[in-house]
Amino acid sequence: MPAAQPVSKAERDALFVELYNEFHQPIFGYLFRLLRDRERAEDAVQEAFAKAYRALHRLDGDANHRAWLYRIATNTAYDRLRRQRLIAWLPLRDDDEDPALRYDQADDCDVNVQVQQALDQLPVRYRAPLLLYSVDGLSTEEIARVLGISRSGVKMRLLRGRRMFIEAHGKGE
Amino acid sequence: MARKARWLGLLATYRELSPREREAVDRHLEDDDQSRELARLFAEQDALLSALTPPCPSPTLRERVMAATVARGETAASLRWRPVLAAALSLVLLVLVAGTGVASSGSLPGDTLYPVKRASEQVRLAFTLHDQGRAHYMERLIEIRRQEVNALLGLGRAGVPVAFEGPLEHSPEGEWLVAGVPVIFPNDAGDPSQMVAGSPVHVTGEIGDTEVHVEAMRPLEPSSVPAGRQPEPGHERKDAADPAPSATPTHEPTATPQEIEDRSQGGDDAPPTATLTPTAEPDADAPEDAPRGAPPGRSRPDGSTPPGLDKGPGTPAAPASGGDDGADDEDRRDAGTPSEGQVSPPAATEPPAENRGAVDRDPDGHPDPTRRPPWAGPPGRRTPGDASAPRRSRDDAEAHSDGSDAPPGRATPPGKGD
Repeated sequence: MPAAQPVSKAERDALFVELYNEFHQPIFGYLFRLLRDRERAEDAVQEAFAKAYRALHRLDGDANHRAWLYRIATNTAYDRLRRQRLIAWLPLRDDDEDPALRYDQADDCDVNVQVQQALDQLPVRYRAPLLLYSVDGLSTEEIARVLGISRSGVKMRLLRGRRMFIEAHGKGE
Repeated sequence: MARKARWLGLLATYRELSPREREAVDRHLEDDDQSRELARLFAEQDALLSALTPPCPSPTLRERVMAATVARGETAASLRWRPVLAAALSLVLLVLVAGTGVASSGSLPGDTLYPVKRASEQVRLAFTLHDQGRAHYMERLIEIRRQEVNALLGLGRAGVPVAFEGPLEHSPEGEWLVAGVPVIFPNDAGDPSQMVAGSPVHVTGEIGDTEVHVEAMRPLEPSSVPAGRQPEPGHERKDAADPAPSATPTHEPTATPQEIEDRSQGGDDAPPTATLTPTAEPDADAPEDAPRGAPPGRSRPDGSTPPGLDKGPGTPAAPASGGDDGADDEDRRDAGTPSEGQVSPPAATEPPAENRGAVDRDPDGHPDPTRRPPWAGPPGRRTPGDASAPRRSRDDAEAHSDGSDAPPGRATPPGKGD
């Protein structure tokens, strides 16, 4: 993981490319499971990395780049979900379509549709820490930074999210 | 209860537990079946979630991200310079606007920047809230309009529409002047002889060769004329008790037939009377290019004939003293020609009042300087070779060229001229 704070534009660009190569795949997966749509997830990835690029000069050299990027991605996803909720009454998308069909068609790599459907039933505030902990492997300390809450808060959300997932996954089986 | 919640919290984050904590949790799970089952479910859950196949982003995502970041070159440095750039652009814009304003201050009607000049004047006028300052600035604008007309005449920019105002005067050379600017009046522009000398008027017209061809004229309140342009002493003013000019012709002649008969017989002996009404008729013996009489626009306010006019014994200057032939007198009688101090009836060629108002005035009631009335012919122009001759209005020339004895500006009422 890069440690030194970039000075020149070339150094910043190099650091950014390095961060992108390392984190764009997991961040895309995280956003895909939060937003439940490939196109929206890719747009969110682009927006999140653009924000990161503009804020790169403010990043400390010894900062946790992964937590920093996930925080930007989470805030971007929350903004998009908020906007999506505001315009949910518009008949532009059919959100009631079969999620299994949507994931089968949208993502060739993701075959565990039942797990994803169970995740989809979780509220975002519980889904995000569970995904970060169990899928992306972040520590509770990092999740606390990403979500901007305390470690105990992360543990509480994780426990509730786990129980909700067990219930949702048990119904699906 | 709190103890159980602590155990469950440890179970939820079992991965992060230290070996000592894991050993303690494992001991607890041996005694608690419910917790053991929950720990099993959590472990199964972690296995399921971590086994999720990561979704594959589209191959174009990298290009999109790079295009929006690195390739765009929008770095912190450029962001830092953005306010400076905005300030510089604002300064350039300010200089451009100010420069345009300064450059437009010397523009004349017909110039590209002239609308800018007028707009800036209106803006300044709108922001001049003090009554005294506003009146002072309006006087200044009137003076600027007059200077513009003089400048246009000096530059010879014929055909440029202008509008200005000032006192109507008559020069000793026989010219009509408005605010000192020489003007000529076609028939449809109004008869200046019906105006009180020195009365303020608003004039619209076109720049001619050496004068302004008036297309419309309207009287103004005396207070609207700047103090500096008040009538000069020496110019005779009509008596304030004179009736206002009326456009309504009267069928009642002001002179009885007996009086006219007397005049026709002994008119030569009658003393000339001062009047604003032009009376001189062309002298049959006079050369073709010689001045043949004072047209309406050339009559002098004091009634005397302008210099250069051939005033023979049979051509008295004043209409009250009779014409040079009986036919002229007859026409004048039939037309109800006013006697001294009375105003002439409007010319028959004048359009109806409602038509004039509809075409010649803007919604504010002011004459539109850019439009010629439909009944008006082309503006009268003097030929360059005619510069030495006294200025005559186009209608004067037409009236004389067709051999009509009726003086220009006069009309024969319908049914009376035949």
